Amino acid sequence: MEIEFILDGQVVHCPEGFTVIGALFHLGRRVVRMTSGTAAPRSLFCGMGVCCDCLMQINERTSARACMTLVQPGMRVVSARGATATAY
Amino acid sequence: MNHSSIVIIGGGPAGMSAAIAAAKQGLSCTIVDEGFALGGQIYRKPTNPERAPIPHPRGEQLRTEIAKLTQYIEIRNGHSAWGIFDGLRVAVTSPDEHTELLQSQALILAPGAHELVPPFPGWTLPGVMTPGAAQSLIKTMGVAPGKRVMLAGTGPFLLAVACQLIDAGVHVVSVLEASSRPAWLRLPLHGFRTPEILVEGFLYLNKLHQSGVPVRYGRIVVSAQGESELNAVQHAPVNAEWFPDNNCIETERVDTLLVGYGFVPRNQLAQMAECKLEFCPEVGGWIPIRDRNLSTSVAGIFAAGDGAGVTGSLAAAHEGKLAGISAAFFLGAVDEATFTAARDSIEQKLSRLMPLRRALDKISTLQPGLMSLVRDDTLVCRCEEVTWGEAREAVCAGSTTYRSLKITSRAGMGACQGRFCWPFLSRLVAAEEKCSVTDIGPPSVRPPLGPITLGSLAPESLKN
Repeated sequence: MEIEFILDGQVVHCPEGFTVIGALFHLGRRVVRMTSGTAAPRSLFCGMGVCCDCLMQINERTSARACMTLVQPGMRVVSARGATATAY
Repeated sequence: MNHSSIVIIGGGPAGMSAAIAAAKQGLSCTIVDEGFALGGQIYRKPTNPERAPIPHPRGEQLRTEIAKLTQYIEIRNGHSAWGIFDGLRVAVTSPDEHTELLQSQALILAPGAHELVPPFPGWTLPGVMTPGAAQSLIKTMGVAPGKRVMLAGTGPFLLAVACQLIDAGVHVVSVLEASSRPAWLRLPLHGFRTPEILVEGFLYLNKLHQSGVPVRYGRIVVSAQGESELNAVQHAPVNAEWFPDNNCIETERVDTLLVGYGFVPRNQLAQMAECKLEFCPEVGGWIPIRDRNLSTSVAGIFAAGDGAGVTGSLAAAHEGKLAGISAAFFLGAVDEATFTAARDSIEQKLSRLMPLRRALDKISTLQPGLMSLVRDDTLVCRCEEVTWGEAREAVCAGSTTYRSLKITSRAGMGACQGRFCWPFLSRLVAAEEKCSVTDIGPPSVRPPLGPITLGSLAPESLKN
């Protein structure tokens, strides 16, 4: 069964039981955010909630770890876009 | 406040085994674990079983045993333990952002370890990740980390992950092992008491050979290249101290690089509980000092598994069992004769594993050449984007403690709280101060140990 959620304003789908990071990789998108300092791209790094490289805004929650969050129907996932970002 | 006789932090092989052992003595336990299901990193349970490969039978067996003991064992998955207060009270936040202080009579710390990655040019590029990160995608959802994958670092874990990638249909280009081939060929001399582990290693090598994946010994990755994502890796042969020969660099086009040089025990809760720590580089760094019963220096706090010194999943399960029965003995739920008999039996099983483990530790001992890869513009602190040049300048100007380096350069101030930068920055500081890493100390810890919201701390009456 596919789950529908919203990634940076776009309606997208992933299989059920996927983490947010898994869904992004499944969709062919590996860049998770741009850093607040130099707007450099980041992605999955440690995969176990320690490094905090995959922080995203998930629903109202800022700095949520994409590797530790399962996609839920209708979830709104927003990636930080560099120096002006508020999601970090 | 919730009361359980024993609170166990971590639901991997150590934490699960501890819970089973304690529950069998009739004690109530609570397992606090950040994962979606029990298993830890090694025995991750698929979140999408249709796509993921069949989970490891040892993990399934532990989960089955736990399921039979649910009248004693409370499982809290998705919960973060982020602080220890007033002795044995653990602050825990649930996935729906409720925070509780768990009170226990005994605490078992089994938090596991995270991977060790040295800074090198390009290591922050998307596509560069730990072998464990790639494994997490495959094991839980059957998602590939990329299309053309190279693995680099040291230790048998690289071989295991390479085989899992092959099974998942991913193109593995090569495995680079930093240490030399002769060192690996001598392993059977140390592993004759554990032939089943040697066989496992041989099967990995055989699978890689059959799949045409070369394992190249004595080579390390010196840089990763790409614009918005990784597209190439440079690697070079190394000498005995892992200094690369820059005249022999090879460039390989890959979109994914999995790099891991071993593991770092997650010691933060032990440190916060003021357990005495010691520096043991051969098992990953700073670990809580433990007695024969796996008790830390703080009465009532026990530590087991990779979080108390990296010795692998088999040893972790034995240690967990010992910690569980030790905690039961500490609480008076088991008599001394039964306890010592159980301990002796577990110690025998552990000692059987140790010769091979120690030999592997020796092969994978970090060598100084690994520290030579950074350039002035290489980030050492991924979180705060602090370069090697900036960190070194701060150290040279006198910032030679974790605290002062953090204040002057911001290195270690970010969300990971120094977990990824400090293993290397502490060596830099030690080199500058001409002292040992032991004198430098672990990063200071303070709650919260992970990102939590202010809202999760608010009393229910303030929430709408």
